[in-house]
Amino acid sequence: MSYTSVTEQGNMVFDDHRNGVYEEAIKRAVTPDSVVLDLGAGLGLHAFLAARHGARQVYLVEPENIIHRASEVLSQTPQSSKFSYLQGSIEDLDLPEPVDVIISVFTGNFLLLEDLLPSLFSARDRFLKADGILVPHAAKMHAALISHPDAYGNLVDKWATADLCLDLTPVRKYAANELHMTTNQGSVMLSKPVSFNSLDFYKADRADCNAEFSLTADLAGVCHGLMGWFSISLADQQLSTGPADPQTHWHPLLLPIETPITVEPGDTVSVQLNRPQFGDWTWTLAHKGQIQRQSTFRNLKITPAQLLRRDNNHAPVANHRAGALSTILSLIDGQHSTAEILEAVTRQHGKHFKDETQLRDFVHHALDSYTR
Amino acid sequence: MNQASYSKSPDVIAQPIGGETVLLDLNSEVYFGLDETGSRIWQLLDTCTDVTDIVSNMAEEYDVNVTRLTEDVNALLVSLESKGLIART
Repeated sequence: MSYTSVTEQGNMVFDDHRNGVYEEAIKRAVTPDSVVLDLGAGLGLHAFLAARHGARQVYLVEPENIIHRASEVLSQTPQSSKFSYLQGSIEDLDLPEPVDVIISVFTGNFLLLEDLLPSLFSARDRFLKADGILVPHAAKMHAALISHPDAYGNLVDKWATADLCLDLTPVRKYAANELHMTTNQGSVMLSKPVSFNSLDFYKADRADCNAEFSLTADLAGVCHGLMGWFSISLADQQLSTGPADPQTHWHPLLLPIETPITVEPGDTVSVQLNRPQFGDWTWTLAHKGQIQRQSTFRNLKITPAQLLRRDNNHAPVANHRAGALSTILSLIDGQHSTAEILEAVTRQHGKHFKDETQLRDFVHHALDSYTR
Repeated sequence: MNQASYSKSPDVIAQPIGGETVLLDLNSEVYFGLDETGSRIWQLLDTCTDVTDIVSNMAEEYDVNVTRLTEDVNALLVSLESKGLIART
């Protein structure tokens, strides 16, 4: 998900249910002496709540340019002197002092999507005081057997049934190996949910999942896979994003199986769910001796050639872009202007770029990445 | 000739791509790549009873010296076994 525009931020800012739970938790966590870090601050709503509930100092950390909008908004408030703005990833920044409270919304759909939690753990280790408070401080994942004919039809079966001039049936198996955001509309939960993969944010140092559990059907029906969601604990508050919970900006996920199965009450489905940090999701369902394993790996975000380049024994050979980057880096010395760098790259490496725009974008991107 | 038989680990997922194959070992969370020949050997592990069987299938498909082919097949199988991607049965 991208968080660069106010429209995208609006999905979270106007999430009333989430806001209410977060505000209660912030109220309990913050004291007049508190120094607070709002991690991934967006438009600064949680920073504002912390200041309004008495925090002495609030640091807003946000990698996107939206932090300038936060500054514009918060500068109008009576608490404006309490805010400090730091743009960048938390891993690249230093705070001037340790903090008493870290507020974050680093839980993606089904907890682990977006892989934001490792950044929270890094911030905790570097900046949170020994007796500091995390908001939220814990999370769990949940899953249940789901019958969801509408979602399955639209997200998976459609590839094989759409009336187009091109037969897209081969794509169906890849759609069955993706996680799909969905809602509970038109769905029936065929089993009670099971909770797994509890993470204590004070102690966790990895955001992964290797879970095995069983789900027992309460109802007869066609099972299209799993519905997965998460819940978080914030002070004494709980916030769950499941299909039966109040709606939030988070979505439950459909983890489909390639061939839907018919279950009867009392049937047990054994589930294995694997998701290494930053890696592929793999879910395996076993029912009456039949095993179905789906994985986002099937959609191959990595090729054998890319694997070869990551092999420790491989000796990489630079391509033309590396030469251009080398030229740029050699001229980043506080003496050469951007125009001079552009001119040097054009002269030495221009023939390797499609046109002037592509070359300019390459240079600007490098300057964004490697200069301060 | 090596008469050993092998089976694939149930914790490995394979995905073909453009004639090659990428493997994911769910235990180690490590990815592996197989070239075209390795991919064919990986396929044959599903149906062949032993290494001799794999080599004879490959010898029919590829114009190659059988001694050299046997060495190559064995080398790959030993490598796959050392990484836990296949096991002797």
